Amino acid sequence: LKPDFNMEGGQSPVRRVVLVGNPNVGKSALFGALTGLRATVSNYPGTTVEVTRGTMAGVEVVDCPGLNSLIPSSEDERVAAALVRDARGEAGSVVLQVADAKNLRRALILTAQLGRLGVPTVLALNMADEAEASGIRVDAERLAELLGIPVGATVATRGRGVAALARALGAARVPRNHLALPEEIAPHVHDWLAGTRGDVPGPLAARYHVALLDHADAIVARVTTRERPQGSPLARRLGRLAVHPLGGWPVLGAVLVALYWAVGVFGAGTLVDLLEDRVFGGFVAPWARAAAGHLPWTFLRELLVGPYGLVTMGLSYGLAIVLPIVATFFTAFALLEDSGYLPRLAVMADRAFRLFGLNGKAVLPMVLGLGCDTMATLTTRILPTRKERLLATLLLALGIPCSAQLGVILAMFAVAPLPAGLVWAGVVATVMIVVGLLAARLLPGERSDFVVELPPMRLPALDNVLAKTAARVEWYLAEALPLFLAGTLTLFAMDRAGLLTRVARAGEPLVTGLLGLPAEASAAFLVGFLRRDFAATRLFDMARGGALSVTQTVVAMVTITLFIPCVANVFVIARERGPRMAAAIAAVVFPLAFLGGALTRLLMLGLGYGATP
Amino acid sequence: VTTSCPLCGLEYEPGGDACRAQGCPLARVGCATRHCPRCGYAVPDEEHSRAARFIRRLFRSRGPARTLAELPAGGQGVVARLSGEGALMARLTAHGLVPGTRVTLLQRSPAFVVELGETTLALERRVAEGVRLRGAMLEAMRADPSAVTSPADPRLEAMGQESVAGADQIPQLLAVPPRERLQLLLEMLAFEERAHRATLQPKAP
Repeated sequence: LKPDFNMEGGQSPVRRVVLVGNPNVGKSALFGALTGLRATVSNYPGTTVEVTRGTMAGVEVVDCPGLNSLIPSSEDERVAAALVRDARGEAGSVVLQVADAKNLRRALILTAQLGRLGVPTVLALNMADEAEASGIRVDAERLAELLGIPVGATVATRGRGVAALARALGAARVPRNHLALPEEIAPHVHDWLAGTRGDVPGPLAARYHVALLDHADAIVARVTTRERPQGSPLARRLGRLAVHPLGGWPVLGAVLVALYWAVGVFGAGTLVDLLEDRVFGGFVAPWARAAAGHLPWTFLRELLVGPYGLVTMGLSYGLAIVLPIVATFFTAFALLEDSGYLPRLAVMADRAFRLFGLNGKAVLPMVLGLGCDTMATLTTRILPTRKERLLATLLLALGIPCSAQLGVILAMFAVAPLPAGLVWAGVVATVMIVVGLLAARLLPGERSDFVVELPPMRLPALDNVLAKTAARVEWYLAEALPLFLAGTLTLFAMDRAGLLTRVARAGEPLVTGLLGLPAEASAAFLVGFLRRDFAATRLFDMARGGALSVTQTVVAMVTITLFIPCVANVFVIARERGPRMAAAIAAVVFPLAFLGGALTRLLMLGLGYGATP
Repeated sequence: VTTSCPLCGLEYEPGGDACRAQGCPLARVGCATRHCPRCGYAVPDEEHSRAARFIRRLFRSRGPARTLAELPAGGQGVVARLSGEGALMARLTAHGLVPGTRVTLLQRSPAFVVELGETTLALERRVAEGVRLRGAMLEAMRADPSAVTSPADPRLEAMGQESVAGADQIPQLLAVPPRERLQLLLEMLAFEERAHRATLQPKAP
């Protein structure tokens, strides 16, 4: 056994601060308190993991994904570990480690690893108020002495202690490290932490963690005192209720209803009506038409304000329909995220998702899919095995309607009677379950073990929620808006070349023959390839105008729900899972959509509904 | 092992041979009843009945829990070791679940929710089954070292110790080369198992 010591880091002006910490310790809140609301979200090179950056008085601040150990076990953790390593060699780069003052033990795993790696570090004991409420007092000065680094207590959500912490950044030091390691690990640890050796054998990593925790416990024992907890246990009780075998279900129901009201009713209804009809229909479109009227060429006029015009279709779609829905959904999602409910949702969903070869964690992409399937496909990366990511991607593409679609579908069933709505839900659910069960058994590979940390339930901080939403909306628009314009351009070109009507006619045998829909509906399916909700809107218009019978309405809705996801989704699937997988998923979803539609037609006719209006 | 038929009293081996000889198709796929070869009286075979095992589990008096999965809701234990795939172990230890950690099982359904200090983890059953808990004797020893002493052990004597008198001596005893440490641990486990079994026996008057 040999102890390892580290040299203290040299001093140079701070240029970059990397925020590191266990998940749910208030890192984002501290990031917001340090940088204000201006932040940019980007993907770490070569991955889809979000990294948030901002500046504080000319110093770059980087917010890493949550991290339990510098020996990573997920893609998120790998990115965070890489960011820490990047900071190691650079002069002026310091790590600001954020710890939950209540759970110092686990934070000290990271501190010891940062010390071993030789990174100048400052430690923030965040959520000092929560620690106080649960009777835990940490002697920050004593801890600073033991670790040899600046330590400050903070309450990031209220900005307490943040200024002092920022001043201490210049005094960052490499954490002192007296840890004696078992001899079978000691020689390798530096290579593991520096990432110079590929995969770390799990049992050895576990043994290393055990040694680190022993060391951490010794430090914790010297700096913390515990008293009887005071304060309200309401959040704790709510946290328990949310995973209760019986009480968890009403909570889940309430959350889903609230989500539906916020996104489906307020976002997709009220806000879209306001923006599309009033703002775009009332001001922007007429104004654009008037302005385009001065253009000498009809071609250019059509390109801008025609039925497939960049302004009248592309922009109005991207800004007036998608933006409000995405913004309300991301706000609701950020609220859920910060409240600590999402991992509890995973607990409730675990049993059900195991049928589909997934575990409870897969519920998060599925819920996000109710906002936007494309976005949700990106988040399937939180699932550890390839099989799980593939299954979740397939189920998202097949049957999870995005918020825009869901809004239209629900509006459409306001026209149709209730049993029709049940048929729609029944057929979509049946197809999902059958495909899920089959795919879980046919695809090779394993399901990962279900291990999820349940953070305490908290009241989300408004600024944190808004900042997160703003950063996500910005990122979404930067990706989606060009796609809308490109898609509109394609449609415009096809319309001009006369391809649009030809393709629509070619699809007629399928649409009228198999599904029994009027011929005009095939155009909707073609457009549906651009965006599913676009097709739904077209069909909604037809249903409202009395062009569709109840049977035809339900058949159309089932087909559209199961239909190939929007172009953006196909691109993302191809990027994440490879072009071959994207093609394979398309090859499964296409026939299933039409099969589902045909079955629905038979079912509806069997129930005694008429075939035509 | 033989059973006696409750109807005619014949002693027979419940192997299902009689059924197979009669050509019953269920005998091949395994059925939960056994038929007496003489009188044909059917006796339920609990070993093969899922429902019977479930009922038995409901009424079984619980011995000390050996894994997290055996702990009742609200029960406490101390982690002895983790078993399972390496990556899973690395993940659990990074969350603070290591040997020596005191854990409280908050609930068993829909997932196992376990509290360790300020950390709360949700696990599925097969993960919980891999978290082995310290035996009851070791725990009793930790609580009151003077209460429990082990019988004299020649190996311990050879090392200058007469018996494991208290929990504080255990780390000292473990400061031996790995091979001997393993041997010692195995013997401690065997002793513990004997003691465990003794606590389950009905007390002699």
